Amino acid sequence: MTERTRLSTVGLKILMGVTGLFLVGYISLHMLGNWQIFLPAVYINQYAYLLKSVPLLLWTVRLLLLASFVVHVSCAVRLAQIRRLARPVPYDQHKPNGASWESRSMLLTGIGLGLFVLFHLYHFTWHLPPFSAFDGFTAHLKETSRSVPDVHRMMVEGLRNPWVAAAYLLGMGCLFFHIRHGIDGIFSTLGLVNRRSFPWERWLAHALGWVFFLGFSAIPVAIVLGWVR
Amino acid sequence: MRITLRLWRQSSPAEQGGFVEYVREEVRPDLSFLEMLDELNQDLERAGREPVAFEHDCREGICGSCSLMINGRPHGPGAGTTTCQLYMRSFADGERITVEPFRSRAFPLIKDLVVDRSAFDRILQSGGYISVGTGQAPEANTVPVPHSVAEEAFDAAHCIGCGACVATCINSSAVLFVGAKVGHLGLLPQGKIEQDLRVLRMVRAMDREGYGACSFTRACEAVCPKNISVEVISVLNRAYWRARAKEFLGWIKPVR
Repeated sequence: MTERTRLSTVGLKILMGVTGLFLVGYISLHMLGNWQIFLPAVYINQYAYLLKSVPLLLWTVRLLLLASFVVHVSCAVRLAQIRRLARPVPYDQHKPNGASWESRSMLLTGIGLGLFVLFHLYHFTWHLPPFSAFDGFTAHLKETSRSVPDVHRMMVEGLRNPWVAAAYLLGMGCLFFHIRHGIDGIFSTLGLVNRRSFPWERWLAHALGWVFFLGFSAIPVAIVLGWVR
Repeated sequence: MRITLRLWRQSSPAEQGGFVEYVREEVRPDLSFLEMLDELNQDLERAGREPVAFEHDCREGICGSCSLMINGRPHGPGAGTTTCQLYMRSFADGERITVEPFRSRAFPLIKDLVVDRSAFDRILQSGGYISVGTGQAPEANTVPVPHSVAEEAFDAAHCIGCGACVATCINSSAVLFVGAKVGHLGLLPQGKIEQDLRVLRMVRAMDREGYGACSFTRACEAVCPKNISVEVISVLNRAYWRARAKEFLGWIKPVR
């Protein structure tokens, strides 16, 4: 409500949409980068080295991501609060009435996704115990004199454990449902839906959900099955 | 047919409410849902008991007075129908029917199944009008309006303000209602002039009443007795961010 914050409910949703769109843009690039795991090890190691060798770009992107994440989450918290206040007495019976499961569960899948992101950073970025061994994985590129982190080996060793792979798949399940409805919602929030455009917008949202889900999940699955070594 | 009604009874907002069951024998399938409740009330009155309070007026699906959450769906199982246009043949013989009032902080309960929907009126008062003296009906073609625009505006103008959209929404959001008004008025030449002001005022009035935001579940569209499309929500959002940007940049006067 406007008494406590200057943002209207429509404004909050627009912030959700814009930051969500930025995060979707980031994971698109992230997925494309990840697919280099299916190529010889030198490709992803070179790519990782390239990203790390431009600190200005790296930190700009990281800070923008962090800012988007913080804004996205704080808007979600505020919206959840408004939702709870808006219906103090619950219904005894309340059918979905055409509302999809994912559209009613954005908070749940969002929390799942947030926890997954924390785990993912813990696992592959911070290398905290029991994943400290990843720090020691190094490789040599012929272009550099120093040894560089062996990202290929880290991914293979890191995802070979079926429990870790299962956690990744669960995270991607959350991503699937969150994206499927999120992209749908962005079109509405930014005011781009009409009766004629709605079918292709929904089709795009669902297709992107599948692309991200299958695109990311292929990696742990391939590693667990031993297709990528 | 025989039905078991499970109705929400609450004598006043201060009292504790609860479900009361009424078994109705020999209900004629061609009775409307409200006529069935009328018969129940007649029997209750004859027995010297308090009749069930429920809201109704035109009983032909155009006024938006009737409400009722019937088996978890506003206006019951019909598609594009209000409760008054719902007939008992839509239910199975022997069915147990749960009837609740619309639940939202913005629609406080008055008694039994009656809620106060004047929050909608306050939103309309904030901007759902055009500030010109309309006088006598002018010659129809004085202000030309393309047919497609007139149709689109009329589709939005079908909204009867019953509140079913709010009632079913997981967020109790009123954007389908506000979007219908903003779409209807903003499309036509007379209303276009004040659109920025209208949108800012109506969205703020909506937030003041305590409605939630839109999650785009599209349940509102599915239960709307007038089949208002969710595209009006896009119309509202588009109009809002444009007006808000102009206000922010100082191109229009700030709106309270």
